[in-house]
Amino acid sequence: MTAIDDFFADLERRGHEPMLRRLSATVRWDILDGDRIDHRLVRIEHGDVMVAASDEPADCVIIAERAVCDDVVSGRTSALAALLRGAAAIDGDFELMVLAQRLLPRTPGASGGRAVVAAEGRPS
Amino acid sequence: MSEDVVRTLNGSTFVVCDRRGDIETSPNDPTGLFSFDTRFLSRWVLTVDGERLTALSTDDLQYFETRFFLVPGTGTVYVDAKTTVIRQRAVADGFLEQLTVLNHDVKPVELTIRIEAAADFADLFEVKDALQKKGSRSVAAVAGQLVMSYRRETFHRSTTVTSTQPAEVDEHGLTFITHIEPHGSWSTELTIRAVILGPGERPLKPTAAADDVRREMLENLDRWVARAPRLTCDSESLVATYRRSLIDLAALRFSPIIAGPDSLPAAGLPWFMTIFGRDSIFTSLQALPFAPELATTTLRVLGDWQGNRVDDFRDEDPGRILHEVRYGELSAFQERPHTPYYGTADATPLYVVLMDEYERWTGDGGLVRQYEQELRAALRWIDDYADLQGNGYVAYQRRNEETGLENQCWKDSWDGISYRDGRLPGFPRATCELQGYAYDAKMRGARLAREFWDDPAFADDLERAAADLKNRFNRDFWIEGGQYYALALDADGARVDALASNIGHLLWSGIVDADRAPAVAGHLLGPRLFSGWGVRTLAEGEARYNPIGYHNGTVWPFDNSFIAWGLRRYGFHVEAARIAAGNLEAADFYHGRLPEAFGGYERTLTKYPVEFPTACSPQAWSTGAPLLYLRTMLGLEPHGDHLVVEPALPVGIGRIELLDIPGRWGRVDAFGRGLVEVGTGADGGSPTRPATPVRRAYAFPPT
Repeated sequence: MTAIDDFFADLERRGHEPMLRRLSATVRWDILDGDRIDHRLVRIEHGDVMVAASDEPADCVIIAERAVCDDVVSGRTSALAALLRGAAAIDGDFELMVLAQRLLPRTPGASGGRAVVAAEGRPS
Repeated sequence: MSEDVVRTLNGSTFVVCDRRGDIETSPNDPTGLFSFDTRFLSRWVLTVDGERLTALSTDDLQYFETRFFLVPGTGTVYVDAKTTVIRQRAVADGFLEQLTVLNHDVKPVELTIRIEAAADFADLFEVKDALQKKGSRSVAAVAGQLVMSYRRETFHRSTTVTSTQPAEVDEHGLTFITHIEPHGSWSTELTIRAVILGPGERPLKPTAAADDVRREMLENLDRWVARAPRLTCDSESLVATYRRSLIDLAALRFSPIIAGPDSLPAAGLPWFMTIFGRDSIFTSLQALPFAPELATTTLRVLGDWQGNRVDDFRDEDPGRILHEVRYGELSAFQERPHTPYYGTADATPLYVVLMDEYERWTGDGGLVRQYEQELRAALRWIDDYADLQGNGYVAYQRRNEETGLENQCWKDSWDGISYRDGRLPGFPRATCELQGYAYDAKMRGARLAREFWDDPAFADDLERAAADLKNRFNRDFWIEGGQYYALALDADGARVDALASNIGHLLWSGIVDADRAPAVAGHLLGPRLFSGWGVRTLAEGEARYNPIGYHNGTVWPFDNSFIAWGLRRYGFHVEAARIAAGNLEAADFYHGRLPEAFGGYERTLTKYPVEFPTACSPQAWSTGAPLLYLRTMLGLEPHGDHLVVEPALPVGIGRIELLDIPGRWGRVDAFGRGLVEVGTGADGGSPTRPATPVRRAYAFPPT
């Protein structure tokens, strides 16, 4: 279990995100884990959130290595920074990637930034 | 930036070059092809038979298209060339350059045409701070194509150069050996693509064919100008300024990746072609009567990117509206916090203000309902996250001590907020205009809650909170001895007592007690603040006053346009007209393009407005200022489904017609005549109520 697994487990328990009440869409995470790809399909219906391990087509697909996904949910990197440095890719509706960040925990354990990135010392 | 620099741009992609179209970057000369904050070409030099060229003329065809007429040779007074070279360049996701060589001789010629190209992939921040690259560059000449690349870990940017005519391609450029018949010509089309590559070498955003982009831009600019209200006026200067503003505003439109084809106003050309919360909101407000669609995109994009978590590096809080987004390498590696950076204290309340004003003009209640959660979160931010002094006022203090912004209000230079004696207050700082914006946000939020969210209880709460804020503000910020509001409260809650233009924004927000408004207006038009061209940022006589101090004495057209709006709100029509007249007369000296700021020198002293040297022109909120002056002088105000027109125009303007003003009423016309005597100097005493009777009229759609 890494941070990204905890995130989806927690998301399933929460089941609702008020800041996404205006949204009905599907967002899929393709988590690259060596040769394996873990799929997590998040279906959002007016803020109600359901998570499934599925590779069904989605309105927006977020593709990244597991370590990068862990960094994003822990607040060590922003999704936009990961995207700009080629550590993540988006397939589909970009706006949904922006809104999907509202599913992330409100107060991450770490503050992002250079110190953390440098301390990681590995290519992201 | 020197006068000899030519800028051609399209959204966040722009070329800065010399009058020949050449790019030769030096540390002090930030030229190049830039896209998404990265320099994709640092060298682009044309020679004919090894000789550099001389520009005969350089024409800006459109803001995104430039044509250079050149002849071989340099430094000669007398040109007797047998060859002409025409470069026509259109900026798209890179640029497209049509290169044509004409032979005027009666004999055929053999010419060697060479383009030298190089890319340093500098981040804009590196250009400014002269930093070294951390990754590695490579160049390849493959299949008639020049490919320049930069990599740092997974970060990958590349520039490709292709030509429709076959070229000899080497790592430093392209060479064409041409044979041109007598009175014949030779031509090739060069395509330069700036590509941001993601995993698997996929472009981050799809690229369109440059030709299509150019065609689309042309149609788009025509449509943009055609759709805006038409101005006819006795003052040719005002007509020219209006047209300049419309075209510059078109050039300043920027499509952030998430907005699809829609665009919002970026802050300034060329270095600030990105989303700035504050600048995009102010410019959208100024442009509402002319191009309301800018506000639509601004509200959508800023709403989508609203802060979600507590992140000290980005100074992010839930509900906070962003300050700035950057796309370059330093942002990508989090050596700068701009992905996005949230360190601004005014964008969040102003977001609510813009939404309300937008609905009043357009009647687009759908957007108000759609973004209800964002608006509520913004209103919560004011109370839950911005009260850093614990006294109920909006204040700011950065949490990112290294690369965050120290001053998170519009006067964001290090010494922009000071006491009368020149000392700088500690943090957190609660500047006065932030309290005005917060008050206005609560009042307008109450209207939205009542009319669109069916939540009268929340509306009542907001109005009570606003009334309380206004009471406390008028007690805590008022300086009885000087008869004005303090610039800020310092970390101890004590008054920062300098007299500054910020008090004008208080009128705009409506937080000023009615009986104090005449004193505030008196200061704004008085000799310490009013230069004759406009209101100075800081009053003469304050310790840090300097007529060419960035936020300490210069006159900012953006600032003045909101002050004029505020004066009208409180009924000071003559004073508003006087500021508008001063600024618009200044615009005439700049061919209709108001700079970001000009010197605060007394008008009678310099006779012309001395430009403050800044890197960016046009600047979005300066471009928007003449538009807001038109609104203010014509007294345009939505009233239910009608547009009220209540002109109070300076005499110099003569007769004026603004036709087809778009809004919830469809399109209506406004007419006026300049009757207000404004003079050119500052008022010595207290302002008077308008001497000119104000005609109140409703405008109706033309029949």
